[in-house]
Amino acid sequence: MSESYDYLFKFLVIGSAGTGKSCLLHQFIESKFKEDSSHTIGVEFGSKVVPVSGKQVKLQIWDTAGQERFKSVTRSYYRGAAGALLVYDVTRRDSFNALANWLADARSLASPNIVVLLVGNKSDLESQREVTFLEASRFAQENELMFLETSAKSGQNVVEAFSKCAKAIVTKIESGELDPDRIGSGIQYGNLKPTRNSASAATGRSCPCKV
Amino acid sequence: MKDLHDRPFETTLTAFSKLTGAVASGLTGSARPEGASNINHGLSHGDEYEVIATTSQQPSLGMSPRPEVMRGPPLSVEEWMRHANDDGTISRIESLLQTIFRGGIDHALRYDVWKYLLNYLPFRLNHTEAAELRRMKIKEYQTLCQQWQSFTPGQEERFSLFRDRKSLISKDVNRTDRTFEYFAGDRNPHLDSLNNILMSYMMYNFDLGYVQGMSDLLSPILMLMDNEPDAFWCFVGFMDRTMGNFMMEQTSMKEQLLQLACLLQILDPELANYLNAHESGNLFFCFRWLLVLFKREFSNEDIMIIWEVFWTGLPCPNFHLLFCIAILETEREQIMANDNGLSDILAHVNSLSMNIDRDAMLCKAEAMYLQLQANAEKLPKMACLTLGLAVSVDASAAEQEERFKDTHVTPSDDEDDAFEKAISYSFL
Repeated sequence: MSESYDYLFKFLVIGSAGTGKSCLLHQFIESKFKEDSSHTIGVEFGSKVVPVSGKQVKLQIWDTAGQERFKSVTRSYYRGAAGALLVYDVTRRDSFNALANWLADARSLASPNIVVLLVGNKSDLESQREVTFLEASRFAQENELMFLETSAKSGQNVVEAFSKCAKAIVTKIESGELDPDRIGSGIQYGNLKPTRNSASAATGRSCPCKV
Repeated sequence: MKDLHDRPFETTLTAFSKLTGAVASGLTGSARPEGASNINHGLSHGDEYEVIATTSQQPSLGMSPRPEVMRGPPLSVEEWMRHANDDGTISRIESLLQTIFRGGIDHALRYDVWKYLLNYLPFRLNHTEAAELRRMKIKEYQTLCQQWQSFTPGQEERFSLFRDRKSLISKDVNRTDRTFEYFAGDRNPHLDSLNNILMSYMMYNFDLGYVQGMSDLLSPILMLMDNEPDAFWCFVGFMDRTMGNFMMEQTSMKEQLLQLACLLQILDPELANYLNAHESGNLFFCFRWLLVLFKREFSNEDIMIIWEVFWTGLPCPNFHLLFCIAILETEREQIMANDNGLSDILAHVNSLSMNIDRDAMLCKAEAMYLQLQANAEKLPKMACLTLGLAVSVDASAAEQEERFKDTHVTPSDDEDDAFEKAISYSFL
């Protein structure tokens, strides 16, 4: 509760069942691969403070069940998310084909301005690859997404994925493209002195910033 | 401002929630009499319950106190033998179920008794009939296995629904209870059994197919039965009871969450109001509890007892909802601490896993039922229907009903948004 941070961002991890969403979250928070992890039922939650562009940013991350059927519950947690990792499995084409639907949901239910980073997980399973880096890059470009391939197992690019997405949000705040004070922005000011000196920032500061 | 324009409902709701939260905390902060901070310790005592009811600014139902209840010993081999007749039929079912409800089942008996509890074997069958039924069931299971095993690669290629389900089953089988010795390690044959049963269930009930959570329900059954056909038919019996949780429209899950909210409003209005004011009135954080009937929250030993208790159908329909409320009430101070919001509440509830006192919760849930039953005439209709209590035609109950209705909106259509709005509105 006493952690210090400048901003708090609400993040989502979304994508089809079995793409490794919970393992990405676990690797990010605990810095290790979770063997024997169960599939997520409903929604789980984790948070971590990371340094981003000289700021301390607390990521409040919602990890959702991947099966279509539970969307009525999982989507209720989308509201007001500032960022999302949209995850597919590089060894499973169907998880890649489903991306457009997940993206549409995130943009319509969280926020049209949500910053999304496309994650091709399980990059360690090169021999089983079904989705090439190139075609995923193309999808990312066409849909204005950032893109990284990761391995929750080896840890490759996992911290980078979360940090890159957070960094893009910080940049958008600083350029004025994102307004943290807008209700449902998914952004709150933290307990450190905010560097942004607008009048509206003052009102933001008074919020309890509970996580 | 743009947000208010884009999503007038959500924005207004958030603002309103904050307002009601502030009002509620102001009231409880100043009006709470001495001793009320011990609220969760003394809930079984009537006078303290009155305190809660009057400080919560909700219509006080003025219920008589909760009785003390205790757990009992498990169904023993001796007692089971007294129910099992020489010809194999089982008699005095009611008292048998009472014993199981009160204390569960001695582990040595579970292999036999679960088949009856899960409607695989009817109590009335004699030895010959039971053996014949089992023979037929084993054969039917083999037929189901052959069906999914005989798909040609080309058929699978043109049958995406089958293919997707098969792929999801294989994914989930590899991540179900792998920490248990029974399912541990690579190339464990028990994983194949888990897979075979789920694939066969998909063929048995193709309309439902495979939905995540089913493997959680199957795992303790397979560990106990330790053979595919018996585990399959016990699983079918379990699914017959809980199928609604997995249906496409999720109607049953939504209904249970509404019923849960209604019961919580009666049993712990202060907590219900707190949750409403903190974006959690929909009780979605109980979703996992309900979907897999607490499988993820308890050890295997505990979950076997809890399920046995639920399977008796005693003391009322939907007893599992009172079990939910028993846990919530036990955790109420933690849930409401530090002005916890949506994320802290979910994180706290998820973190309770493996740290819940099984017997204390069963006792508390039963005590809640007895209290509600004794005060049935004061309850709103929805609560009576949920718990199988006779709906009173008494004037005061009708009046309560009206007061309840004022704040309660039932979803008028099956759209998710409508549901969410309804459940958020209903207890604001």
